[in-house]
Amino acid sequence: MSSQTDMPTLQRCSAPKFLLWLSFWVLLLLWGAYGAFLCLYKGLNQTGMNNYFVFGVWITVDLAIIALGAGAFFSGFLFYVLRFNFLKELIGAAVVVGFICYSGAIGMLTIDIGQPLRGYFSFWHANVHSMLTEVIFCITLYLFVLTIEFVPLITENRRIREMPFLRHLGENLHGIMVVFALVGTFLSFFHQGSLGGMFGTLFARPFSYRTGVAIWPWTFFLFILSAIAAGPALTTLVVWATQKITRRRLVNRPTLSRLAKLSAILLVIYLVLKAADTIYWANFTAPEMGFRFTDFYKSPYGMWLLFGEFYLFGLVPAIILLIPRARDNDFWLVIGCLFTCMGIVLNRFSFTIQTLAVPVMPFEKFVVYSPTWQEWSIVAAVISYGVILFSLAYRYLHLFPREAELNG
Amino acid sequence: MWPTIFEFSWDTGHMIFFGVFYAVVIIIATSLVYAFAKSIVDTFSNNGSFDDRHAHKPMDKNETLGG
Repeated sequence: MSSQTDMPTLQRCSAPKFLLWLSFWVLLLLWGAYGAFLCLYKGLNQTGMNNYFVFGVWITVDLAIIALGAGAFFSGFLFYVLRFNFLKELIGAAVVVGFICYSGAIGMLTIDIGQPLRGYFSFWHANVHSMLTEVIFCITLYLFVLTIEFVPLITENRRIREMPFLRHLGENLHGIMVVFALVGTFLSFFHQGSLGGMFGTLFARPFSYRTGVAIWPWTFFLFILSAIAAGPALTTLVVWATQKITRRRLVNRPTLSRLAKLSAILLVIYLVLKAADTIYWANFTAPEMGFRFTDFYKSPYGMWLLFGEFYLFGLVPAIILLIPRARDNDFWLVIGCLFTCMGIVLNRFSFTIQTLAVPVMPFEKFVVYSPTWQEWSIVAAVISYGVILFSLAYRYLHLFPREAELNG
Repeated sequence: MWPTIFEFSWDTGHMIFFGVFYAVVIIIATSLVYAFAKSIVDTFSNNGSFDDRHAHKPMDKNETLGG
């Protein structure tokens, strides 16, 4: 953390230009707020969810942004605990991205549960045998930890630093950040895993059911691995996009390459284990439950989903990012990171939607889920909330410690 | 959440789950209390990395209380 004396003045765009940028996102946010109002006022009949699809686009996006937000805990763990010092250049941005992802996910869940006033039931009347209970406890606590990690960034603002107590608070929180990094790692490990475990234990849903070790199905470990592979990729993308939009150098270029390489290595490990899991599931687990592998893939959720997840958005970005010359090139870096993120979104989509689309009763048919505009509007609102918050954080906080030096 | 509420039972699942949960809550709460308490002490003692602008400046020889 910098002290007041070495806090540089950073160049930012004019207020009208900034407000113009924000106005588009605010309009999207308002559209989402209207959609949310309809869902809360009229009920979940405003959505495309029904007796087949109790999970819809909101849960897909929730799982995806929670996985993509893993960059915060993983970067924090690498920086504060394992002392990967190159991450200092973007640890602040990673925390803000993580905060946006988790607060956005919880905001979306608030609409999804239909009766937000009874949201506390999951804490008060906790079902300790449910993976979802672990998830809700962990993501709530982790959002709290992310808020604490966000505070030192806010207290570095020039105006706020003039208030002695807040300034000391930021510095003291920063001093014990390793504790929060460890707690965040513990919480993230379990909720990322439990989100996968939740699908893996669905014995009555053969598409997602998996064998495993002790009480944890293999999906528990695959979800953790995929999240820590995709998290750094999103952080890289966000930092790269911020540099392009602001036309300023925010971090050293090799830092982005190193983060992308880390993401690629983890992605390869994930793909190998995911391939092993899929082969075992297709040849042993599913047949034992009376299903052929091809029963699970029908239009529109055809085999292209599996191939897309494994090859186009799995193997391809992993290879791109493992080649030094490719990841040092901006175009290929972006393609690699973007495809990695898309692969994780596709994986979460398959587990959420395809699991429920596959018939499990003799009289059922393969069903298709169509989200309504109200559902899309809330997804758009979460994205616009993220852009607005990151824009404000970039404008008013000191997210990138080397910005002044790199643009000197 | 508490032993007094409906459906709580003193079984292994509840004890492990809530044991870990409350341990995490206690660690977070203790760390926060420490940071707040130290910040209050630092604020009133003007030590540590406190900026010079906020530190007490000794009066100049020529300055008087009456200005």
